[in-house]
Amino acid sequence: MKNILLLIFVFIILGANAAYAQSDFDFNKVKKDGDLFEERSIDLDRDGTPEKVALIAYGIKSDSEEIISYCGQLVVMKNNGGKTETIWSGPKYKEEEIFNKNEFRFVFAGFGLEPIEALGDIFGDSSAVLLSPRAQSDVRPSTYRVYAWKNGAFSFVRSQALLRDEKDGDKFNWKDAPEGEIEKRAWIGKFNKINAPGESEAEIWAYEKGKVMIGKAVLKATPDGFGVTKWIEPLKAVE
Amino acid sequence: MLRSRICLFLIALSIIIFPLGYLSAQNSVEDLSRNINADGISTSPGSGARSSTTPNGGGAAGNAASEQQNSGAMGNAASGVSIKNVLDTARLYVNNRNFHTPASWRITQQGNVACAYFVSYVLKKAGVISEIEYYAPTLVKKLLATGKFEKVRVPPFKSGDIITWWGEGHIGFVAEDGRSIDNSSSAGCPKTRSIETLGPADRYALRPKYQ
Repeated sequence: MKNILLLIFVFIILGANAAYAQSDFDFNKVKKDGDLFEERSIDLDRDGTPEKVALIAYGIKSDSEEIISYCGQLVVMKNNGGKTETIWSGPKYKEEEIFNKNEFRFVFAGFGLEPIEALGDIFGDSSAVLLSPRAQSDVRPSTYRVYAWKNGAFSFVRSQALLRDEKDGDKFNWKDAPEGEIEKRAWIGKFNKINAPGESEAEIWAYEKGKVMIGKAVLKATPDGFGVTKWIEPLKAVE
Repeated sequence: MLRSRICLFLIALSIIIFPLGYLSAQNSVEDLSRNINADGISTSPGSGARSSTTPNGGGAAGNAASEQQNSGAMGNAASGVSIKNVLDTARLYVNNRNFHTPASWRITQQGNVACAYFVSYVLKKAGVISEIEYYAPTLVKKLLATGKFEKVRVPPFKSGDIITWWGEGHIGFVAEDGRSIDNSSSAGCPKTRSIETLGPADRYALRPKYQ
């Protein structure tokens, strides 16, 4: 009994460590073409064994000092009797195409980063969805690319921002990112975690009177985007 | 007995790892907080710089040192702004994150989305503008409203031009050698590089009226 309690305690502590160990994207993890990064585990085909969703580095560019940019090819791998097999892979783009906003481009460059931000049943419709922000290099509403896992492959669904206009209350709906004017708007800036099917925790960002505001909220998926069910931290100016 | 010892070992290990993991996540911001002086400028050399060398070989420490050397140039800002002054100020922060405050560090997601912040920080420090801006299109609008810039068609680029890429999605300076000085998302700090590295620049730039 005592040992069981001790083991439970150990798992709680290790679990807490895992939560804290989650960090933002690490650009320096990639050293050469072919390196695997942004690895996530999820049971896509619901056979009880998780698949690995990851990016494989290609198109690395360096200057005399360091790596300055690279791309990632989205892949899904499965462990088959101790052997890892790639069961699906997305397209790779040529060097001259990395400036185009291709659907499956995952670029990590001076003008922005496109990591895997969330993966799971984000919309609560029992399907696995991957969210990745479009590269940006200033503070503006994030444009999210949405990919759904269907029939053994990821397919591109949309590329839009999750915006709340003044009239929207606590609803963040899929809309094209505004050009030129972002005052009086709030947006979902980062998905921190998926709590349950259709329920996520995210950072909410806004820009008001030249001040950047950040808050945290629990979100529930709606047909048009997400609605806030609870504010964990209300929007407040970062100063 | 053995299981108990293993459990105790794992508990001890977890207690050690937990604060280490937490501290490492907090480390960069705490470093910044510690090193910010009353002016909002870090005075400690080298904190957070990913690359050890600057294009002129000075390194992050060199940047901090040259910040002190450049105090004369900063002083000039009060009497008159010059392109040299602005570019000298921008160069101080190449390969360097010491221009961040804890707030800007948070807002720019550890320097990843800091292009407008960097440009406005440099221009504020050089005495061109009075406010920090995080969003490139608003910064462009505000710079034009100062009357200190004119919108010109580029190329050719000129030293001191403020250029944008991707329809004002990214912003930076043009240096004397024709390269850009702008914040890099991948490096998390400003870099000098060829303008084309980031793709084609926008057709219009802001050309300073000051010389």
